[in-house]
Amino acid sequence: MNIAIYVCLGCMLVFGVFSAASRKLIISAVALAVVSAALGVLMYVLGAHTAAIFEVSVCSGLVTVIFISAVSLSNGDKQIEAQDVAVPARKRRFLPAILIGAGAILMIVAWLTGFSVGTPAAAVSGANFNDVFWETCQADIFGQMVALIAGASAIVVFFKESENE
Amino acid sequence: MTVLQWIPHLFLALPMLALIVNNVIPRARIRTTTIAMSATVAGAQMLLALAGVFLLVESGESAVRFGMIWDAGKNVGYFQTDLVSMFLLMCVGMVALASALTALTTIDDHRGSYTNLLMVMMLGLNGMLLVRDLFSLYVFLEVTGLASFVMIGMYKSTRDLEGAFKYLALSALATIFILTGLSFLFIKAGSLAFDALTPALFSGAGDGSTLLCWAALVLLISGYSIKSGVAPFHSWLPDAYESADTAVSIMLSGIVTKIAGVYSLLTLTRLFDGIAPLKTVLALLGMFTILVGALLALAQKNFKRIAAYSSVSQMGYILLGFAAGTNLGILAGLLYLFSHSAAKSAFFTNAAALEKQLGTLNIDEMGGLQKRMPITSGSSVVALLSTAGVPPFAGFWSKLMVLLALWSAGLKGYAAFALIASILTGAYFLRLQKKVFFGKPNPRWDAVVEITGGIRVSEILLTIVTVAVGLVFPLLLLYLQRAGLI
Repeated sequence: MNIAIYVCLGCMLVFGVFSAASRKLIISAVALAVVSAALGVLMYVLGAHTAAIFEVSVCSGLVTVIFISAVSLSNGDKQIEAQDVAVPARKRRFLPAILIGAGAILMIVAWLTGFSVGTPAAAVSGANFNDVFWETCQADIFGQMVALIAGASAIVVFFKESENE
Repeated sequence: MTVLQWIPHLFLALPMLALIVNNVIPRARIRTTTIAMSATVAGAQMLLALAGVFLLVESGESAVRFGMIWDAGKNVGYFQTDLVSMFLLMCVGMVALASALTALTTIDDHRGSYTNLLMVMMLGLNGMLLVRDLFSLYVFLEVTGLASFVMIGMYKSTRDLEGAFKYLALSALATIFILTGLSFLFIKAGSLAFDALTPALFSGAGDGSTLLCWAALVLLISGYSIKSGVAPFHSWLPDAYESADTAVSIMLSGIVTKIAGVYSLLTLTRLFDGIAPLKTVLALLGMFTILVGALLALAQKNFKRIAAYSSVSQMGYILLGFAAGTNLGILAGLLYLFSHSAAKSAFFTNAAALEKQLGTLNIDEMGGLQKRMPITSGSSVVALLSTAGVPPFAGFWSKLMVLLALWSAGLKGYAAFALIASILTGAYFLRLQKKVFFGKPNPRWDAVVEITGGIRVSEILLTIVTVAVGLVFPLLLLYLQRAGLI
């Protein structure tokens, strides 16, 4: 089980860095989906089954579809690639090294301090769906609903033509 | 259910109702009244919260717990309001009212979107003040941040988008810090509910998970400091305030940084009361912020940038109040937050008036406007005197209380520093007043007349609040003392 945890963490680190460092938006979106999938597996291994299903279906599935659709519709991938030519490759080379280095340091610190992940998982695994997603999280669900409204307002403000135009 | 149990529900229901009305009724029909509706909601919140403060003191209860509106009367409590949050809800209402009144004049395009975003921002701020666990606090913090980001970049000019991008980039960094800190705390405590987070988490020397708690504290302080714009995490703030519409700057400066950053830091100090390094860090951050903000304000030429750096500087006094770690210190910090919110909102309202009438905010181009714009000038002078801590305005009492709290907590060096630093506040504001309203009149502005409409109403209201609170402050203190709160 420990091996699965470290494999998932490693995948998340590598694909997360790849997602940030990639020149193409679509590849970044796919790498991000892999990070979410690895996180989903990690959650499942740790006993948070309901959260794992949501992570895989929403973050890895739905969000990736939205990302790729948005990139395809806006044709932004070509624009980003065109801008990217101007960025010196020398500068980009350091980013993955820094991020992977930071991740490695975190893992060493976790190992040295006897990092344990058992307790929270036990607290979540015993609860049923209703408890996890409604009875204990109504405030968060309300907050996320408002966040969705804020997101919709952002789209209206940034992408709709102005009333006077 | 009593009135006191009903009032907190309205802090979530009213902005949500306004959001629905604003989007259900066709935009063309509601265009002229949409901002007036948001002003009504903000004003109602201010009055309801004021009533709530007095009802809570009279009831003798420390807090009221409540669920969503469909759970009214049931014994559930996802939310909670106490005296601190009720008082801050009143501040949110006051600043949102000033912003909406200013927006009546400054915002022509995007009126519907402004109302939507203001209501979302109010929901985010109110949510932060009402939740009972650190993760929910983070969720509503993100709601507030998202609304702020969109409002800053609303007009899509290069300057707007640059300000919005800086805010977004640093907010993302703050988010990483906060989420990592929360996860570390969760590992140790198994819950992020306020009830589960106690100073006992930090006991147990040599234990790896205790080390995680200290790391969490460092990360959370850094994240919340970025959100509050205290030095050295302030770089996003002046650009965001300058580029945003003034109605938006009023919200950002007047309340968003206070609740998103300072209230979160206050929550940490209340949860982990007794952790000495936390108070030391807050005190040092406070001192550094006062100094950096004031020195940078002295070097600016743009009215809004001076107000922005002043906002950074004044945040330091609030942190110093909280750093005292006593009831008096927390009360002093909150009262400073209130007086600063009123004064800074007044300054940004003055900026809106000047920008509207003159078309510029460069103070070198102004001069002698006191005769042309007496109401704006008077409002600005009152805000200056209050911020500098001159009696009998609200700022005098709150600054005095911060000094007393520091002195009585044995932090005499910090108190002396705060007192001396007040001279810097006076210096940059006197320079501003001299260049803008006094001194030699610039013939270019001979035809300029005083501002009218919502901006004028906002200026007058905020000035009345600053003067009136200053005058009744001793009575307010007696009332709180009788209620056993200080």
